[in-house]
Amino acid sequence: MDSVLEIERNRPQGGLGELPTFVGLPTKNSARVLSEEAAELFKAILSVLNDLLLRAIDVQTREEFIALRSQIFDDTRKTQKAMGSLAMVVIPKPTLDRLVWESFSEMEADLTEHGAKKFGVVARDQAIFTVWTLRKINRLLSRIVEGPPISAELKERDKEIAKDFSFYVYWAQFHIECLFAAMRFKKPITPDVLDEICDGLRAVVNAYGLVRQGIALRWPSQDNEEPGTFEWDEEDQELLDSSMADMEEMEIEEY
Amino acid sequence: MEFKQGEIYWVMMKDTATTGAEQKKDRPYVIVSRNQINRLGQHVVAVPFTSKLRHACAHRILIPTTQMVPNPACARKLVDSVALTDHIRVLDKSRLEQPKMGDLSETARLGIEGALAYVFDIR
Repeated sequence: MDSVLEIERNRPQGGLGELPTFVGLPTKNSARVLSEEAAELFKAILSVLNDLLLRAIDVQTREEFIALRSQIFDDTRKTQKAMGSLAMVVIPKPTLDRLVWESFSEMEADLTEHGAKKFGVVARDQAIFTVWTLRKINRLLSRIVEGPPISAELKERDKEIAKDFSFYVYWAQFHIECLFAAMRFKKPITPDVLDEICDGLRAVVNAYGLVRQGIALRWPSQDNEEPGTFEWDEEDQELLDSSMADMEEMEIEEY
Repeated sequence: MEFKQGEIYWVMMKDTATTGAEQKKDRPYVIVSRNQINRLGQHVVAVPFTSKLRHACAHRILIPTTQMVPNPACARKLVDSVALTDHIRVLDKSRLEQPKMGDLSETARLGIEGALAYVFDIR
């Protein structure tokens, strides 16, 4: 369950603003905007990534998957980073933003169309939630990258957040890409391995929490200011009583 | 009494002064409403926890105890839990048992925020 916390973290040194925008996800349309040389290079990197992912989903048991993942995770992360860095060099920023956006839409559409049949409803929903959250993370990260530089006294904290964020976002990405590799190459995933992949997808929540901390560091919340005047009236009380009464009927299992 | 976002409280469904007994539906909740709102009325908005980890799914977030800071003054013990974000509720402050059980880590608190955005489809 806590396997996500047990992996050695090979962390980057920069702050959140220095991390590349999140571009490692494959998109069917990207080839159209690339030069021939760049497209070839992308294809070669993608091929390395696919080989790694296919090895991961080819195993039969959770134990084998965990063992193999510990061998190849760092390589998949380096490959994803390489793809992202190359994209930022060869694709203009507005086009890249559009491609990243499209890639999320393609992923959501693929999961909606084929996910339940391939992985079951629970895993499909977990995967859709992961892609939805990655899209949100991408938007927040763009805001950070385009935002003002962080003050000197907050730089150390920003670096710490970036280190953890980098780990969790690539961890979530590794597991979601295992699912997409299974779809692309029509490979089955055993239920045991699928459970572990779904567990790995949970890392996206940590990644979101961390990138939000990066936002809060740059644009602090005004939440501690005094609220304006407010009169609690009978209607408020009725609504509150009604909510508490509803809870008596609430159908949640005992804690 | 000030209630803050990210604080975890044991919530009693009925007034224990009148019932004198803990109900089956009593459970921990984490406050998710912003502090400005928490200062305003007699209510907070909160998400219930369950200790049944099989409930964890896409938007129902698994919160290990490593992401919680227990309050040493509270006798109730925090355990690995799942935040049932789709059961978000308005709570009467008087049903929040003192002292608080603890606080969520910043990462977990914001993770729940992300799950709530998904529940409400806030893009």
